[in-house]
Amino acid sequence: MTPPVSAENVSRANGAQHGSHSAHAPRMIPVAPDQHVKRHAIDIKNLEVFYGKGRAVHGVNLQIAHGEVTAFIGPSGCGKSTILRCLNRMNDLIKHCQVRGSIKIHGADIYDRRTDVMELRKRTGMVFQKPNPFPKSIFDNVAYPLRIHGVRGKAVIAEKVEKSLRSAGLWEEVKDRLHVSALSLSGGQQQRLCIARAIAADPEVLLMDEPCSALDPIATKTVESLINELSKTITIVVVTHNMHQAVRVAHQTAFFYMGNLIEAGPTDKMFHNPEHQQTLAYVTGQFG
Amino acid sequence: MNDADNPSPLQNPFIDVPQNAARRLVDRITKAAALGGVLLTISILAIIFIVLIHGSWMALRQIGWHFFTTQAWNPVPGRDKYGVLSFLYGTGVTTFLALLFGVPLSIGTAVFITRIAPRWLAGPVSFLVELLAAIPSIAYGLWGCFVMSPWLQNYLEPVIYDALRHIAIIPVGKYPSGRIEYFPANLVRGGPSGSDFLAGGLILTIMILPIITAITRDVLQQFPAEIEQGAYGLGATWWQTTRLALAYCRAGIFGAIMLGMARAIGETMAVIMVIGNTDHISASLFAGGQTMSGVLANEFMEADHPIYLSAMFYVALVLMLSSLVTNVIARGLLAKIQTERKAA
Repeated sequence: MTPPVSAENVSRANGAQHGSHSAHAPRMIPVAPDQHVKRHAIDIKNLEVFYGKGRAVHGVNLQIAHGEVTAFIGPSGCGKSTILRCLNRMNDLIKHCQVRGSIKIHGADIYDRRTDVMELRKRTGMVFQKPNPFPKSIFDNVAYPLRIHGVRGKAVIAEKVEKSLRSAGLWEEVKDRLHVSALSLSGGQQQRLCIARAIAADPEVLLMDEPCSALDPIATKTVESLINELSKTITIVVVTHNMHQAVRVAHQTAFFYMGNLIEAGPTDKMFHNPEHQQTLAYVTGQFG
Repeated sequence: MNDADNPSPLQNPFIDVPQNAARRLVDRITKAAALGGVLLTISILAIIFIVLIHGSWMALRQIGWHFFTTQAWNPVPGRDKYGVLSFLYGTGVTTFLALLFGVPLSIGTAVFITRIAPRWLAGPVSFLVELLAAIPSIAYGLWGCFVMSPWLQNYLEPVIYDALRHIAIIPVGKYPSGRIEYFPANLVRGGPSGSDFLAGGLILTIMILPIITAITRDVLQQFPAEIEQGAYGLGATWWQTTRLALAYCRAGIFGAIMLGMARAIGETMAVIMVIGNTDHISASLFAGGQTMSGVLANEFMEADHPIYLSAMFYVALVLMLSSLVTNVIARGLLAKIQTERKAA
């Protein structure tokens, strides 16, 4: 989805390109008039995160391209999940967690005081490490984000649920038992259900926090091909412990260490010809 | 070496070790003692049940099912007439009122403790609510009789009376006088008395608060953080997430309500001190009544002829079965969530 753009930055000719953004679409965040159209879906500037007095993230600057898959790698405690959780402000739920710096999604500052966090999270889906289906039916799980955001109308919801389940590659497996409990699914199916749920409200960004770490290799493979498929329409950020996974799914990779961004770049370059010695040491398995 | 390879039984060091015999004996005695304790407990339940059936045998044979269709309770020798209906009604109405007021209050308190209050406040609030359970029921009764009832009669009930007495919406029946009974005006018929079903219901409300609150709080604390994060991650609000938590814990909360209900059904002293003690069935909240446990407590000294005594045992049997059934349902539901949780 294109960001809301003020008229002075866009010529009439360009305006047509942005026609997909309906005038009635809710604006996530107020956009300052001097915002130019960004190529970047996500723009992180001088991000610092504190837990109490301890600093977990030190001045990270990172741009994430629109419609690409970006992998965050690094050893445990390097801050990669913390940064991911800043992108939909899940860290707001943690007491004593303080975020400084700026994060812009499609040019809009998500840490603006007036930001409606519910709307932000609706537009940035999140998939967690452990599959976390709600104790409801398969159908009601996927319909949940639609319902909480006020979508009414059985036909509309049913259509969206089917579309999301198809996108998550789960439709064929569950179409005959949409109304059985989601807890009856296997771990891999549950995780794909959670992906379907995360994309049901048409987010522009999908955040995935080690989405395969609780899955077996076959389920992992399915989820990875799903990531490739979804990246055609959604910007994806995936935190992973598995470096091979980063190679398989990510266009670009960012390596974090002790709360610092050491290096970010095209995945291929990061794994074969990184700029930094530390990156090389990590990707070749010398530590971590 | 050959001897070591094929030790004779006599030489086998693992057979009949005398220094372990005492330890083994302790095992045997403790296990036997535990089994004995269990058998004793179960047999007490069985004995009480048998005694109740035995004691009520005469009434069971002479009155039978009519016990549940008669509201008269006349223990005068020669004119004996015994029906449990008005006491069953009294227990039912006071229990219903207690749940009506107590359940929302308890669940609200549990939600406050687990999902709103900062830690420094949650602990003390929790403690104070549980303290309510430590107050003896006779103390509640005394307070109810000398403080709550007069207050109801003089302040709360007149307000309700004035609000409802002329509101006649749904005709629900006829009074013996021939006048038509209307809802909700019938709820306040007779005017404020202070010693009535409402008072019984209110005193029970306070008494079931701690158990429902404590169990609801405990099951809400089991709401998994991953699911909570999942809901917030989709953009759910606090209330939407809380509703999800309540839905997740619904079986446990239902079990808590059932335990509160069992308490309300069995509670005696506090209720007889505020309910008015008449064998009477009336839709009016301001009418006096009696509960099953209440009639037993009031009349056990007076049951001087066999059928009277037998009818008392019959009431006790009905009371015990109602409590037992609610308890069994409550336990079943609590067990059900535990297995559900294992499956998940």
